[in-house]
Amino acid sequence: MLKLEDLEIIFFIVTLIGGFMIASPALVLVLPARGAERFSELYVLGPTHMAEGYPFNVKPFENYSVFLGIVNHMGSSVYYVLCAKIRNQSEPLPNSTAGNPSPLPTLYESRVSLLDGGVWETPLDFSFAEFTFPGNSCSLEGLTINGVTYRINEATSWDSEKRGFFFQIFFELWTYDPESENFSFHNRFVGIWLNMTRQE
Amino acid sequence: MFVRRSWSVGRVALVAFLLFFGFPCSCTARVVLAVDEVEAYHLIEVADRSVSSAFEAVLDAEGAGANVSALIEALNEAVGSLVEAKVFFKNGDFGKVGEVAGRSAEVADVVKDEALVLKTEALSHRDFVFKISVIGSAIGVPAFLFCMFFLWRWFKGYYMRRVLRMKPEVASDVKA
Repeated sequence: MLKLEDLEIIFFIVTLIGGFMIASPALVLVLPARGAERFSELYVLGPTHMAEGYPFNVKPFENYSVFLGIVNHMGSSVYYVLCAKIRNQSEPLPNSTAGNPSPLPTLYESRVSLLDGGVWETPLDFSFAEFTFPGNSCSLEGLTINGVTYRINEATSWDSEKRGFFFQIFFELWTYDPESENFSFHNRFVGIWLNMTRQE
Repeated sequence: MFVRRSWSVGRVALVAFLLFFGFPCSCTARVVLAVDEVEAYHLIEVADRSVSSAFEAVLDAEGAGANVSALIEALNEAVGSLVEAKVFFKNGDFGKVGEVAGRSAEVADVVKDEALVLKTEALSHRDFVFKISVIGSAIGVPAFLFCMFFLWRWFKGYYMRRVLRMKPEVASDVKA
Protein backbone atom coordinates (compact mmCIF):
# COMPACT_ATOMS: atom_id res chain seq x y z
CA MET A 1 0.00 0.00 0.00
CA LEU A 2 1.30 3.46 -0.98
CA LYS A 3 2.11 5.99 1.68
CA LEU A 4 -0.13 9.04 2.10
CA GLU A 5 2.77 11.37 1.15
CA ASP A 6 3.25 9.52 -2.17
CA LEU A 7 -0.46 9.66 -2.91
CA GLU A 8 -0.41 13.39 -2.14
CA ILE A 9 2.28 13.95 -4.78
CA ILE A 10 0.35 11.89 -7.36
CA PHE A 11 -2.81 13.81 -6.56
CA PHE A 12 -0.97 17.13 -6.91
CA ILE A 13 0.46 16.16 -10.32
CA VAL A 14 -2.95 14.97 -11.57
CA THR A 15 -4.50 18.26 -10.40
CA LEU A 16 -1.79 20.28 -12.15
CA ILE A 17 -2.16 18.40 -15.46
CA GLY A 18 -5.96 18.62 -15.27
CA GLY A 19 -5.78 22.37 -14.58
CA PHE A 20 -3.55 22.94 -17.62
CA MET A 21 -5.85 20.82 -19.79
CA ILE A 22 -8.87 22.85 -18.79
CA ALA A 23 -6.98 26.14 -19.34
CA SER A 24 -5.43 24.97 -22.65
CA PRO A 25 -8.05 26.52 -25.03
CA ALA A 26 -7.29 29.96 -23.57
CA LEU A 27 -3.54 29.29 -23.30
CA VAL A 28 -3.35 28.33 -26.98
CA LEU A 29 -4.77 31.72 -27.94
CA VAL A 30 -2.39 33.63 -25.66
CA LEU A 31 0.91 31.76 -26.01
CA PRO A 32 2.83 32.26 -29.30
CA ALA A 33 2.78 29.19 -31.55
CA ARG A 34 6.19 27.69 -32.31
CA GLY A 35 6.20 27.23 -36.08
CA ALA A 36 8.23 24.90 -38.22
CA GLU A 37 11.11 26.03 -40.42
CA ARG A 38 9.93 28.51 -43.03
CA PHE A 39 11.19 28.28 -46.59
CA SER A 40 10.16 28.16 -50.22
CA GLU A 41 11.02 25.50 -52.77
CA LEU A 42 11.99 26.49 -56.29
CA TYR A 43 12.64 23.78 -58.84
CA VAL A 44 13.08 23.25 -62.54
CA LEU A 45 12.03 20.04 -64.29
CA GLY A 46 12.69 18.78 -67.80
CA PRO A 47 10.11 18.55 -70.60
CA THR A 48 8.85 15.18 -69.32
CA HIS A 49 8.12 16.65 -65.89
CA MET A 50 11.07 14.77 -64.45
CA ALA A 51 14.47 15.91 -63.22
CA GLU A 52 16.03 14.70 -66.46
CA GLY A 53 16.14 15.52 -70.15
CA TYR A 54 16.92 19.19 -69.60
CA PRO A 55 17.70 21.08 -72.80
CA PHE A 56 21.45 21.40 -73.22
CA ASN A 57 22.69 21.49 -76.80
CA VAL A 58 20.49 24.19 -78.29
CA LYS A 59 20.10 25.33 -81.86
CA PRO A 60 18.58 28.54 -83.18
CA PHE A 61 14.82 28.66 -83.83
CA GLU A 62 14.19 25.35 -82.07
CA ASN A 63 11.73 25.23 -79.19
CA TYR A 64 12.72 23.88 -75.80
CA SER A 65 10.61 23.50 -72.72
CA VAL A 66 11.08 23.10 -69.00
CA PHE A 67 8.74 23.29 -66.02
CA LEU A 68 9.25 25.68 -63.15
CA GLY A 69 7.72 25.07 -59.77
CA ILE A 70 7.33 26.85 -56.46
CA VAL A 71 6.20 25.34 -53.16
CA ASN A 72 5.29 27.60 -50.26
CA HIS A 73 6.36 26.49 -46.77
CA MET A 74 6.42 29.99 -45.31
CA GLY A 75 3.57 29.49 -42.83
CA SER A 76 1.31 31.99 -44.59
CA SER A 77 0.35 33.09 -48.09
CA VAL A 78 3.17 34.54 -50.20
CA TYR A 79 3.13 36.64 -53.36
CA TYR A 80 5.98 35.39 -55.54
CA VAL A 81 7.70 36.79 -58.60
CA LEU A 82 9.82 34.51 -60.72
CA CYS A 83 12.44 36.41 -62.76
CA ALA A 84 14.19 34.80 -65.71
CA LYS A 85 17.69 36.06 -66.55
CA ILE A 86 20.45 34.95 -68.88
CA ARG A 87 24.19 35.06 -68.28
CA ASN A 88 27.45 33.84 -69.71
CA GLN A 89 30.10 32.07 -67.62
CA SER A 90 31.75 35.28 -66.43
CA GLU A 91 28.61 37.19 -65.44
CA PRO A 92 27.45 37.02 -61.83
CA LEU A 93 24.88 34.71 -60.33
CA PRO A 94 22.89 35.83 -57.26
CA ASN A 95 25.00 35.99 -54.12
CA SER A 96 23.54 33.39 -51.74
CA THR A 97 25.78 34.42 -48.85
CA ALA A 98 24.82 38.09 -48.99
CA GLY A 99 21.33 37.31 -50.22
CA ASN A 100 21.69 39.64 -53.20
CA PRO A 101 20.10 39.03 -56.61
CA SER A 102 22.08 39.02 -59.82
CA PRO A 103 22.49 42.55 -61.22
CA LEU A 104 21.60 41.28 -64.69
CA PRO A 105 18.34 42.52 -66.22
CA THR A 106 15.15 40.49 -65.90
CA LEU A 107 13.93 39.22 -69.25
CA TYR A 108 10.74 37.50 -68.30
CA GLU A 109 8.73 37.44 -65.12
CA SER A 110 5.87 35.36 -63.83
CA ARG A 111 3.86 36.04 -60.71
CA VAL A 112 1.69 33.97 -58.41
CA SER A 113 0.31 34.13 -54.90
CA LEU A 114 0.33 30.86 -53.00
CA LEU A 115 -1.30 29.64 -49.83
CA ASP A 116 0.88 27.99 -47.21
CA GLY A 117 1.63 24.50 -48.54
CA GLY A 118 0.53 25.51 -52.02
CA VAL A 119 2.31 24.20 -55.12
CA TRP A 120 2.51 26.03 -58.43
CA GLU A 121 3.99 24.83 -61.67
CA THR A 122 4.26 26.60 -64.98
CA PRO A 123 5.62 25.50 -68.34
CA LEU A 124 8.37 27.62 -69.80
CA ASP A 125 8.94 27.35 -73.55
CA PHE A 126 11.92 29.10 -75.01
CA SER A 127 13.82 29.42 -78.24
CA PHE A 128 16.70 31.49 -79.46
CA ALA A 129 16.93 33.63 -82.56
CA GLU A 130 19.95 33.08 -84.74
CA PHE A 131 23.34 32.92 -83.02
CA THR A 132 26.40 34.44 -84.56
CA PHE A 133 29.89 33.13 -83.99
CA PRO A 134 32.24 36.04 -84.51
CA GLY A 135 35.81 34.89 -83.95
CA ASN A 136 36.08 32.70 -80.90
CA SER A 137 32.78 33.72 -79.37
CA CYS A 138 29.03 33.27 -79.68
CA SER A 139 26.56 36.16 -79.67
CA LEU A 140 22.85 36.03 -78.93
CA GLU A 141 20.43 38.64 -80.15
CA GLY A 142 16.98 37.35 -79.29
CA LEU A 143 15.35 34.99 -76.86
CA THR A 144 11.68 34.05 -77.01
CA ILE A 145 10.10 32.93 -73.74
CA ASN A 146 6.49 31.74 -73.72
CA GLY A 147 5.81 33.48 -77.01
CA VAL A 148 7.34 36.83 -76.11
CA THR A 149 10.56 37.82 -77.83
CA TYR A 150 13.20 39.70 -75.87
CA ARG A 151 16.11 41.45 -77.52
CA ILE A 152 19.30 40.53 -75.74
CA ASN A 153 22.89 41.40 -76.35
CA GLU A 154 24.85 38.56 -74.80
CA ALA A 155 28.10 36.99 -75.86
CA THR A 156 30.23 34.18 -74.55
CA SER A 157 33.64 32.93 -75.49
CA TRP A 158 34.68 29.37 -76.32
CA ASP A 159 35.20 27.19 -73.26
CA SER A 160 38.10 25.02 -74.30
CA GLU A 161 37.86 22.86 -71.18
CA LYS A 162 34.19 21.89 -71.56
CA ARG A 163 34.27 22.46 -75.31
CA GLY A 164 31.29 24.70 -75.93
CA PHE A 165 29.73 28.14 -75.94
CA PHE A 166 27.79 28.23 -72.70
CA PHE A 167 24.97 30.41 -71.46
CA GLN A 168 22.86 29.89 -68.40
CA ILE A 169 19.18 30.70 -68.08
CA PHE A 170 18.43 31.10 -64.41
CA PHE A 171 15.36 31.94 -62.41
CA GLU A 172 15.33 34.05 -59.27
CA LEU A 173 12.54 33.90 -56.72
CA TRP A 174 11.37 37.18 -55.24
CA THR A 175 8.65 37.68 -52.64
CA TYR A 176 6.45 40.60 -51.75
CA ASP A 177 7.26 42.13 -48.39
CA PRO A 178 4.16 43.87 -46.97
CA GLU A 179 6.27 45.93 -44.55
CA SER A 180 8.45 47.58 -47.18
CA GLU A 181 5.62 47.31 -49.75
CA ASN A 182 8.13 46.02 -52.25
CA PHE A 183 9.52 42.81 -53.65
CA SER A 184 12.71 41.42 -52.20
CA PHE A 185 15.00 38.64 -53.37
CA HIS A 186 14.10 35.42 -51.56
CA ASN A 187 17.59 33.96 -51.96
CA ARG A 188 16.39 31.09 -54.10
CA PHE A 189 17.44 30.50 -57.68
CA VAL A 190 17.75 27.64 -60.16
CA GLY A 191 19.23 27.52 -63.61
CA ILE A 192 20.06 25.38 -66.60
CA TRP A 193 23.22 25.53 -68.69
CA LEU A 194 22.87 25.68 -72.45
CA ASN A 195 25.50 24.93 -75.06
CA MET A 196 24.96 26.98 -78.19
CA THR A 197 25.51 24.85 -81.25
CA ARG A 198 25.57 25.78 -84.92
CA GLN A 199 22.60 24.81 -87.08
CA GLU A 200 23.56 22.08 -89.52
CA MET B 1 -43.94 54.11 -105.19
CA PHE B 2 -44.90 55.10 -101.67
CA VAL B 3 -43.17 52.03 -100.25
CA ARG B 4 -39.98 52.79 -102.17
CA ARG B 5 -40.08 56.42 -101.03
CA SER B 6 -40.60 55.53 -97.38
CA TRP B 7 -37.71 53.02 -97.55
CA SER B 8 -35.42 55.71 -98.89
CA VAL B 9 -36.54 58.04 -96.09
CA GLY B 10 -35.67 55.32 -93.58
CA ARG B 11 -32.31 54.88 -95.21
CA VAL B 12 -31.60 58.61 -94.99
CA ALA B 13 -32.67 58.58 -91.35
CA LEU B 14 -30.31 55.67 -90.67
CA VAL B 15 -27.41 57.47 -92.34
CA ALA B 16 -28.23 60.64 -90.39
CA PHE B 17 -28.36 58.65 -87.16
CA LEU B 18 -24.99 57.09 -87.88
CA LEU B 19 -23.53 60.48 -88.75
CA PHE B 20 -24.82 62.18 -85.64
CA PHE B 21 -24.41 59.39 -83.10
CA GLY B 22 -22.31 56.60 -84.56
CA PHE B 23 -19.35 58.68 -85.71
CA PRO B 24 -18.89 60.63 -82.46
CA CYS B 25 -19.25 57.36 -80.54
CA SER B 26 -16.53 55.68 -82.60
CA CYS B 27 -14.29 58.71 -82.07
CA THR B 28 -14.85 58.51 -78.31
CA ALA B 29 -14.04 54.80 -78.35
CA ARG B 30 -10.84 55.57 -80.21
CA VAL B 31 -9.93 58.21 -77.66
CA VAL B 32 -10.57 55.72 -74.85
CA LEU B 33 -8.53 52.96 -76.50
CA ALA B 34 -5.70 55.20 -77.63
CA VAL B 35 -3.34 54.64 -74.71
CA ASP B 36 0.18 55.86 -75.17
CA GLU B 37 3.30 54.37 -73.61
CA VAL B 38 3.32 56.69 -70.60
CA GLU B 39 -0.32 56.07 -69.84
CA ALA B 40 0.09 52.32 -70.31
CA TYR B 41 3.01 52.33 -67.89
CA HIS B 42 0.92 54.31 -65.41
CA LEU B 43 -1.99 51.83 -65.76
CA ILE B 44 0.36 48.93 -65.08
CA GLU B 45 1.68 50.70 -62.00
CA VAL B 46 -1.88 51.27 -60.76
CA ALA B 47 -2.74 47.60 -61.34
CA ASP B 48 0.50 46.55 -59.64
CA ARG B 49 -0.30 48.65 -56.57
CA SER B 50 -3.88 47.32 -56.50
CA VAL B 51 -2.68 43.71 -56.62
CA SER B 52 -0.08 44.33 -53.89
CA SER B 53 -2.64 46.10 -51.75
CA ALA B 54 -5.14 43.26 -52.28
CA PHE B 55 -2.47 40.74 -51.29
CA GLU B 56 -1.78 42.67 -48.08
CA ALA B 57 -5.51 42.63 -47.30
CA VAL B 58 -5.65 38.86 -47.97
CA LEU B 59 -2.63 38.33 -45.73
CA ASP B 60 -4.29 40.34 -42.95
CA ALA B 61 -7.48 38.29 -43.32
CA GLU B 62 -5.43 35.09 -43.18
CA GLY B 63 -3.63 36.34 -40.08
CA ALA B 64 -7.00 36.96 -38.47
CA GLY B 65 -7.85 33.31 -39.09
CA ALA B 66 -10.04 33.57 -42.21
CA ASN B 67 -10.03 30.93 -44.94
CA VAL B 68 -8.56 32.82 -47.88
CA SER B 69 -8.18 30.04 -50.45
CA ALA B 70 -10.94 31.47 -52.68
CA LEU B 71 -9.43 34.95 -52.40
CA ILE B 72 -5.98 33.68 -53.38
CA GLU B 73 -7.55 32.06 -56.44
CA ALA B 74 -9.25 35.34 -57.40
CA LEU B 75 -6.06 37.27 -56.67
CA ASN B 76 -4.15 35.01 -59.05
CA GLU B 77 -6.61 36.03 -61.76
CA ALA B 78 -5.63 39.66 -61.14
CA VAL B 79 -1.95 38.68 -61.03
CA GLY B 80 -2.33 36.83 -64.34
CA SER B 81 -3.89 39.90 -65.96
CA LEU B 82 -1.09 42.07 -64.60
CA VAL B 83 1.55 39.78 -66.10
CA GLU B 84 -0.40 39.78 -69.38
CA ALA B 85 -0.50 43.59 -69.33
CA LYS B 86 3.26 43.70 -68.84
CA VAL B 87 3.73 41.38 -71.82
CA PHE B 88 1.50 43.62 -73.98
CA PHE B 89 3.52 46.61 -72.81
CA LYS B 90 6.77 44.91 -73.75
CA ASN B 91 5.33 44.11 -77.18
CA GLY B 92 4.24 47.74 -77.62
CA ASP B 93 0.56 46.83 -77.67
CA PHE B 94 -0.44 49.73 -75.42
CA GLY B 95 -4.13 49.60 -76.36
CA LYS B 96 -4.49 46.15 -74.82
CA VAL B 97 -2.49 47.18 -71.76
CA GLY B 98 -5.27 49.56 -70.71
CA GLU B 99 -7.94 46.88 -70.96
CA VAL B 100 -5.98 44.09 -69.25
CA ALA B 101 -4.41 46.27 -66.54
CA GLY B 102 -7.84 47.76 -65.84
CA ARG B 103 -9.30 44.28 -65.42
CA SER B 104 -6.44 43.34 -63.11
CA ALA B 105 -6.99 46.40 -60.91
CA GLU B 106 -10.76 45.78 -60.89
CA VAL B 107 -10.41 42.16 -59.76
CA ALA B 108 -7.77 43.15 -57.19
CA ASP B 109 -10.09 45.80 -55.73
CA VAL B 110 -12.91 43.24 -55.40
CA VAL B 111 -10.49 40.83 -53.69
CA LYS B 112 -9.38 43.57 -51.32
CA ASP B 113 -12.97 44.44 -50.37
CA GLU B 114 -13.83 40.78 -49.79
CA ALA B 115 -10.64 40.30 -47.76
CA LEU B 116 -11.60 43.20 -45.51
CA VAL B 117 -15.05 41.69 -44.93
CA LEU B 118 -13.53 38.28 -44.21
CA LYS B 119 -11.01 39.84 -41.85
CA THR B 120 -13.75 41.61 -39.88
CA GLU B 121 -15.75 38.38 -39.65
CA ALA B 122 -12.69 36.37 -38.64
CA LEU B 123 -11.68 38.91 -36.00
CA SER B 124 -15.15 38.95 -34.44
CA HIS B 125 -15.21 35.13 -34.48
CA ARG B 126 -11.75 35.01 -32.93
CA ASP B 127 -12.81 37.52 -30.30
CA PHE B 128 -15.87 35.39 -29.49
CA VAL B 129 -13.79 32.20 -29.26
CA PHE B 130 -11.22 33.98 -27.09
CA LYS B 131 -13.89 35.26 -24.70
CA ILE B 132 -15.53 31.84 -24.46
CA SER B 133 -12.15 30.20 -23.84
CA VAL B 134 -11.11 32.72 -21.18
CA ILE B 135 -14.48 32.53 -19.41
CA GLY B 136 -14.42 28.74 -19.67
CA SER B 137 -10.93 28.60 -18.22
CA ALA B 138 -11.69 31.22 -15.55
CA ILE B 139 -14.64 29.18 -14.33
CA GLY B 140 -13.36 25.70 -15.16
CA VAL B 141 -9.93 25.86 -13.52
CA PRO B 142 -11.09 27.10 -10.06
CA ALA B 143 -14.03 24.67 -10.17
CA PHE B 144 -11.67 21.81 -10.98
CA LEU B 145 -9.23 22.83 -8.23
CA PHE B 146 -12.12 23.15 -5.77
CA CYS B 147 -13.39 19.67 -6.68
CA MET B 148 -9.91 18.19 -6.45
CA PHE B 149 -9.37 19.80 -3.04
CA PHE B 150 -12.57 18.21 -1.64
CA LEU B 151 -11.79 14.95 -3.38
CA TRP B 152 -8.39 14.95 -1.69
CA ARG B 153 -9.93 15.70 1.70
CA TRP B 154 -12.39 12.88 1.29
CA PHE B 155 -9.71 10.53 0.05
CA LYS B 156 -7.41 11.44 2.94
CA GLY B 157 -10.17 10.69 5.46
CA TYR B 158 -10.98 7.42 3.72
CA TYR B 159 -7.31 6.47 3.72
CA MET B 160 -6.87 7.28 7.43
CA ARG B 161 -10.00 5.34 8.37
CA ARG B 162 -8.78 2.38 6.41
CA VAL B 163 -5.36 2.52 8.06
CA LEU B 164 -6.89 2.81 11.54
CA ARG B 165 -9.18 -0.18 10.89
CA MET B 166 -6.20 -2.34 10.20
CA LYS B 167 -5.31 -4.78 13.00
CA PRO B 168 -1.73 -5.43 13.84
CA GLU B 169 -0.76 -8.93 12.97
CA VAL B 170 1.62 -10.70 15.29
CA ALA B 171 3.49 -13.57 13.93
CA SER B 172 3.83 -16.58 16.21
CA ASP B 173 7.44 -17.31 15.38
CA VAL B 174 8.83 -13.83 16.13
CA LYS B 175 11.34 -13.74 18.94
CA ALA B 176 10.97 -10.82 21.31
